[in-house]
Amino acid sequence: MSTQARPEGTHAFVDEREELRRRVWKVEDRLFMLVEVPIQSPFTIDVLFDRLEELSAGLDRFAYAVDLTRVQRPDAGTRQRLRQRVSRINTRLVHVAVAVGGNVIIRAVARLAAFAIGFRSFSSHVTVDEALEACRRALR
Amino acid sequence: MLSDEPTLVERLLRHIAEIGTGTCSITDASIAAEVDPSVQQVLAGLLMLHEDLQYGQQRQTLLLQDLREAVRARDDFLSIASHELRTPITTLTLQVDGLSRMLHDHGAPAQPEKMARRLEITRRQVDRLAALVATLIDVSRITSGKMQLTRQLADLAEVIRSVAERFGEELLRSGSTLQFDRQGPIWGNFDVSRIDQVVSNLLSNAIRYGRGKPIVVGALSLGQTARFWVEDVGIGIAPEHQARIFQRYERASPSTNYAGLGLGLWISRQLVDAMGGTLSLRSVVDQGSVFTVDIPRAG
Repeated sequence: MSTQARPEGTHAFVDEREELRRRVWKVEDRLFMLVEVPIQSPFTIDVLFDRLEELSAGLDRFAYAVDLTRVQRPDAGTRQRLRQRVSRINTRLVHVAVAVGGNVIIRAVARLAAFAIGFRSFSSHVTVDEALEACRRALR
Repeated sequence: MLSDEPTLVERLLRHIAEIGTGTCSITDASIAAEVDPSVQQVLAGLLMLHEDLQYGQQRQTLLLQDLREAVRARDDFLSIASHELRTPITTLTLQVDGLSRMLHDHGAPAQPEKMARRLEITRRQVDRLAALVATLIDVSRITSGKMQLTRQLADLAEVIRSVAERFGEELLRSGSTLQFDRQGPIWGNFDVSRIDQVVSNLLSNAIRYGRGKPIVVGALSLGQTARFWVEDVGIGIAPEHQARIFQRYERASPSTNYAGLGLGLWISRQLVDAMGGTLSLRSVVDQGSVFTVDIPRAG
């Protein structure tokens, strides 16, 4: 099954939603991982952040790393939804780290989002391992 | 030697100036063609700034359209509502004046039959005004989320029968006959007065738009669901109007041809929604309409 062909997924099948939810998991105590879909939409953002909110429920502080190595530049509506969703959990976020590979445009997208949201602590990295390590350091 | 190539600062200022006028010549391809990653990031940032501004502007335009539409609907409604309220008031004024003359004209013989007729007309107009005001109160309750249901064990078929009976005089005036298809009692936990209101509204519409032709009201039990429907063979509703008629202040026919506030179907749908049910429509122009309500019997 592919979640790439349809950027707008408001009529998504249940298994498509499940597929998206499986892209968010707990790595260890207070540390979560998100793997963004190649073509993001307000719908995919909502499903991923619904899952992150579920997993982090009850935690007063946590961090997450996002794998953006295979994503395309999101449109303005998707960026706005991302800002809205992250703002809801921002006060509990110790650190957010993104892995962007060598894509400088996606790095710029992530940094602009970070500025707009006002993350307390944000970093961008080439690999997912580096991003997770940055989160661990922030949580110590 | 001086170069004709614009400096980086000049290029960036040009892009900023463009964005200020609502355009942007930066593209993903032009960003990718840049050699310096820092410049790529700045250009990507400018492109996204432009997109965000355009997106915000589009949303504001849509919001403005919605607001204009809402104001138009409100103005139309105020115009219709004032007309609807004025009509019975005019009739009431005439009847009260007539009664007053009868009472004060001491020389004339008493006319109890005429007085009774005038009082009957007065009563009908007061009922009409009360119904209009009740409709407006319902709108206010629904929109403010203050509407509450009061459920009780009741026989839906009996509720519908009593509504149909109440419409006897109106049916007679319209020329329509009414057939009630029922299997037997349909017991459930219903808000009787709200169901009465929905049936009354659907039946009233069927009489109004039914061209004096036969009307069928039906009710049956489908397991945990109770269904009732009102069917007419009147003017029907064109497909393009079928969704719109359930909106507030909307009607398929012009208000000059048919009286009413244009709120009945909207209120009915809101009430059915609140009961956890559905209100659906099948209609063909010049062949008639069937409005079907499915509601849970358990409440």
